[in-house]
Amino acid sequence: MIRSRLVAQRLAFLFLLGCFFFNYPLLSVFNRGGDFFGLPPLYAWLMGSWLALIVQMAWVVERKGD
Amino acid sequence: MLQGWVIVLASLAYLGILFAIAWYADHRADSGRSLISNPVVYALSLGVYCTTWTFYGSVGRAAASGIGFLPIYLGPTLLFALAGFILHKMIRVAKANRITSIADFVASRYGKSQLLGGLVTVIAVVGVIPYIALQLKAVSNSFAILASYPEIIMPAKAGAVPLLQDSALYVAMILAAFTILFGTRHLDATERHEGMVAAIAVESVVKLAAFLAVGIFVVWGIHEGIGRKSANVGEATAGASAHATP
Repeated sequence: MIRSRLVAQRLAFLFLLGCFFFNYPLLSVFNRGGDFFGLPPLYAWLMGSWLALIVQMAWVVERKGD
Repeated sequence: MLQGWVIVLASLAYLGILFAIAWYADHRADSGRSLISNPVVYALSLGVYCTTWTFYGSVGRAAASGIGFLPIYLGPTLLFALAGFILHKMIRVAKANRITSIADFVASRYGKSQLLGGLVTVIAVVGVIPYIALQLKAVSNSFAILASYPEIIMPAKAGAVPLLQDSALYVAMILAAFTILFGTRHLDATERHEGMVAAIAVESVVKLAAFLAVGIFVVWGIHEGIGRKSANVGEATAGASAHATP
């Protein structure tokens, strides 16, 4: 029970983190010209943070034992 | 030039394959060896929210406004962080009360109010009709675009035909017949539609392949690789936003 509550709290945190990632002001920080490994910074940020969020969610849910 | 009957035959064959998969999955479920109790199949079946129209909507939006197509996918990802709270609770309530529709669900949360249930039904029907119409138009537009292939016609033009010549009408009639035959004859809240879920999962693989094909074609077919493509993004967005309609 304690573990599942911990998982729930971590998932709620990731939800809020995602809301922060995909909103202003962070978007305006990356919304500029330039180049990030051949991609515009905004595209690289959104795709990268999206992927990171999914990986973290999978990690929180799938990890064994605490 | 693709003949009309080739397209119809290919569509029917595809539908037939989906039905065969659904039948097979139901068969496996009956014999206790479920195909869909598998995280990959479940995840693929969630792709159901990526509708027929998505192919025009998302690709069109990406063409017109670049990254503007992405929020449709970011939102569900975010919400799935909370699926453990929200979806799980909804499923528990639905199972406990043998609920099969959103109207029953909302009504049951407010003391089984029949008035509220009716109201939710009306709102859901009114809300979903334009959406279903859009899906049917996507099907008939795709048919028109494929059938007149060497000549490229835009979806808006493809949709402008009289009612009885509109393939959307016939698609709607066929889908209605299928739904009546297979979907609504026996309604049971405890029944799991395993075949349906399996067919949707297979469809999601097809959709994924289609979207990847479009992506690869745009990046390496029209432009020359990722670096060159993103260099064009700025100009393309500036040019497109002048005449883009959301």
